[in-house]
Amino acid sequence: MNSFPFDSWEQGVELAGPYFTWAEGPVFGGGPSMVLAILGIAVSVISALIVTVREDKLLNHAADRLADKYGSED
Amino acid sequence: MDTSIVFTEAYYFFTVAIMWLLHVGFMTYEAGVSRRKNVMSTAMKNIMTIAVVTPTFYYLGWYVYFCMQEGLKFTVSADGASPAGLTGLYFCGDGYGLAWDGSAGPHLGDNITGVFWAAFVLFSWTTGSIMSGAVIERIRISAYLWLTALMGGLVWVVAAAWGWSYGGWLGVHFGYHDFAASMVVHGVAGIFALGVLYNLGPRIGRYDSNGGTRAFQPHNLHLTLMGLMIIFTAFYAFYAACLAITADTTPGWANIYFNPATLSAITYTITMGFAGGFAGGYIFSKGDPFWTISGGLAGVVAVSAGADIYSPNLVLLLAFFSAGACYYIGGWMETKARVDDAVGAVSVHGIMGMWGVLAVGIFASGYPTGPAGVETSFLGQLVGMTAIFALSFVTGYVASWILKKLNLLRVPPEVEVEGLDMAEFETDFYPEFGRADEPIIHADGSTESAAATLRSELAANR
Repeated sequence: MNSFPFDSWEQGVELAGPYFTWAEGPVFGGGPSMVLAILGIAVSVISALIVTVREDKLLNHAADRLADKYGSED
Repeated sequence: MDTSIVFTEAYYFFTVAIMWLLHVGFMTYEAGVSRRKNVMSTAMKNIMTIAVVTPTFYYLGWYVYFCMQEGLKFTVSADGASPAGLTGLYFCGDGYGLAWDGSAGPHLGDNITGVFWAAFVLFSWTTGSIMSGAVIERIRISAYLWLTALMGGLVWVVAAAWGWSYGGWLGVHFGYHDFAASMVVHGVAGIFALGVLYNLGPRIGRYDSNGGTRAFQPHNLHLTLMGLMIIFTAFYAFYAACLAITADTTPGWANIYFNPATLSAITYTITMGFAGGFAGGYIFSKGDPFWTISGGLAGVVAVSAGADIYSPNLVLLLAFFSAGACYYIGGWMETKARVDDAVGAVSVHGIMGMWGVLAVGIFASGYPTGPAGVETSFLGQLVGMTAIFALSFVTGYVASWILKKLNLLRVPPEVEVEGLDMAEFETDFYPEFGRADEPIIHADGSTESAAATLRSELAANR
């Protein structure tokens, strides 16, 4: 996919201000980049939730296993 | 292209690259302090700090920095001018700082925003890494990540908007002066950590039933010392990144309030600060290695707020006695206040950060700060310190209280006694070395195997 939004590199430099990734043109704002930002935020939040839930399971599993070890000698 | 712009771009880029060493150092330092059974859990926190704080700052913090300079409400104005009438460098209102704005990515007409943003990201990581050491050996990694995302992506940013910006209300109205972030980075992180520690509680076995304080031994103190020396190296870049470069200001450097400053001045300060801090730490702690090297950090934190204007003669003395005060305050917090701060972050960063901004009100009162040249004063510094203390402590306390109520703050007691690494990673990271008995130092100074004490305390915790 060719996402370069100008006819030539020189034209891009001349316009001085384009946003090259999924660009809409020299004046950037909203559109595809906002969608990407929302996706990024969603991935970040979901990742944090996954880390939290996964760690909770790991720790509870370990606590159950260790309860016998430490509990038997109380 | 104007070569001064390319120089500015390169300058910030290299401060960012060198500031990475802060986090190499923090990871090394904290891993050394932790006991053998918790080394990888401790290090993993530092790595994941970067993973969570960076996007939080990119999506939220950068915009907040420009748009919350007037207080707790967003002050967006369509023409880019602040309600206080400031123009030019007050970007809020034109979309600047938003993740989908043209400045937040490749932009041939803007060489500066990306590198300046990155410098702020490195400051954000630093706040997280400061808290990280205080809470080791019993906090869940996930809980730490939620807390550090909040602090690194939002709380310190609000403090910076208020007191470490061109248009912040503390500078504009009170002449608040905090050049190298004594309060807005160190103070915020240390006080936020204090709020967290109240809910997190001490490590099992840290205090006995008679009110005595026990001590755990770091598994590798050499690693800790090396980590701090790496941090100190990166501190020069941290200081350098606190300067702004303006083409129309002689000699071209300015502090964050856009008042003239020099790279030379801050080089004097940080170097003399370390010297005074090490000396004070050594003298007052009677040669304790941990407090000698922490004294250097305490000394520099205490002089950072006035680093652009202090005489080196003053810096040496301030750092010397601040390091001594930090040693005694740290001891008091550990033994009397019973705050189990594993690395002394609350006293080194929190208390010294608070003292650092007050010291400017004492030793540099009358110095003009900010676009209107408002005179710095003790009262103004006190107002700033109080506002940022409240912001930091309340957010740290409330956020950790919520996690505690959800039973997501602390690891189960059995896991804490066994060691976090075996639970989090299900492996031993020193497979060639058997686990020797873990030592514990009692309040009377005697040392013995920790096993019996920890089992007894574990039973009491159930």
